[in-house]
Amino acid sequence: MTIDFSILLDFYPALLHGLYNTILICASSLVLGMLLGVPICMLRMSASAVVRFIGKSYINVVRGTPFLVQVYLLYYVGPLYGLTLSAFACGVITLTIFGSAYFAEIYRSGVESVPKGHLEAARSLGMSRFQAFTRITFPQMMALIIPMLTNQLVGLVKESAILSTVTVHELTFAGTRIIGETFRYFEVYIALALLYWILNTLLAALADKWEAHFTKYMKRNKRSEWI
Amino acid sequence: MGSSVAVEVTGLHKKFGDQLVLKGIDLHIDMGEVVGIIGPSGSGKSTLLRCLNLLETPTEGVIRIQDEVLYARQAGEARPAKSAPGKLKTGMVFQQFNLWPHMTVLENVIEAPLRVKKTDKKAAIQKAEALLAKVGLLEKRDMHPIYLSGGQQQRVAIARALAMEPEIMLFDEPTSALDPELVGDVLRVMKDLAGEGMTMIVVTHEMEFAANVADRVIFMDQGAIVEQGTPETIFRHSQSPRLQQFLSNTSFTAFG
Repeated sequence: MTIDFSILLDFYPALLHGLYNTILICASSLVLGMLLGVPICMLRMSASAVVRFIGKSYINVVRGTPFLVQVYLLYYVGPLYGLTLSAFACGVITLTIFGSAYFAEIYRSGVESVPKGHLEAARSLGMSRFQAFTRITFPQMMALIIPMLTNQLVGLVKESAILSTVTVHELTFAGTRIIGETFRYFEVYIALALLYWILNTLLAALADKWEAHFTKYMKRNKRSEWI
Repeated sequence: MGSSVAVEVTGLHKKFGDQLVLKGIDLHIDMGEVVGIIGPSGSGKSTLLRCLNLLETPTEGVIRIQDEVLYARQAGEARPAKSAPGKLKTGMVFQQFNLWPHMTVLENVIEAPLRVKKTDKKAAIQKAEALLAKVGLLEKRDMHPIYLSGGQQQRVAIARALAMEPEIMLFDEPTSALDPELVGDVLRVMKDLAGEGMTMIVVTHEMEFAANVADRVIFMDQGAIVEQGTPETIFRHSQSPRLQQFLSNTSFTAFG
């Protein structure tokens, strides 16, 4: 069989539909995962040892088990206990939970990177804990964690391909179907790789913009440093 | 006015785990007084200072700042009475400056007035500029702290604390992290402040500052106040052997 990319022309609506679903699943579960990571991080950093243990256990279990197994558990074992979800919902939920554990740890590393003295200064000036967080901790931690967040986001987009195994009609699923009809492994997988790569490049570019916003103050200092 | 109370501490205890670092401190400081606290490391002097704005929560005792109770807890009592953080009457200057690196010098100074006092921005900037001029750093207002020398950062930190118009200024070893040639600028600002009648409590290793600027010097050791008095008494006529030993270990020779 000769390599012939023109077959993709016949199937591009299916590919686009898959791409659309991948974007939809990723966009929602990345945002939800980043949000869910906040309370998980708060549990993990709680002053109470019991609460901290709960947070730590959640993170350990979610990080310590394969994403594929988590997806299977929810999709195949869930219904046995009355938890029946559409493949799509199952995909969003598992990806959200999976991401949240990593996001929580990234947030924690960010919070801990800010010197304690910066917060003591805020407290000594009468700022509340909330003000100290939003004004002092948050802007400083963001400068540090955005590269880590980007890695995690890109990783999750790639991880979403696993959802094809439970019949979520996303990009990889669409590709597998096309192969089933055409046996054009090479062309279709190249097309899939290319589409994921474009998606992640766009995502990384977006994150770069975001990072530039938070690291402005560092860059300005670096440029004017007298060596 | 010289006799109104600035700080009144009674029976102050502080434990870190099992270790008792403050063993029942009693302290009375009047408004307008400049008090130097000296003593070896681990004597509890910084902890005492940090209790005065509740950066450390005492284990037991009473702290009054002017006419208000800041903290009160008797032995065995479950919950201490604390005042709200926004009502602090103290400003603090730290050994490590602790300026916020993501903000410019000016932003550092106006932050608390804007957020805590809800001062109008124009007024806050005006006030900040006056304070920066006072510490000799107005021309650095738009720079980020990392750009400044340690001595300059510490002077900004003093301006930042003053921007909240504190009644009492707390200094926690303000010159210990500085290169020797930068110490002078910071001490000059502190001297000016003392000259204006500011009530100041200064934990310091600068014996010369304690000797020349303080109205009273307190010597602490092992969580207790061992001796206190005028600089002259402390540095020349010290009573306790512990203080004599401490002074002989420092290179400073007071009053020639």
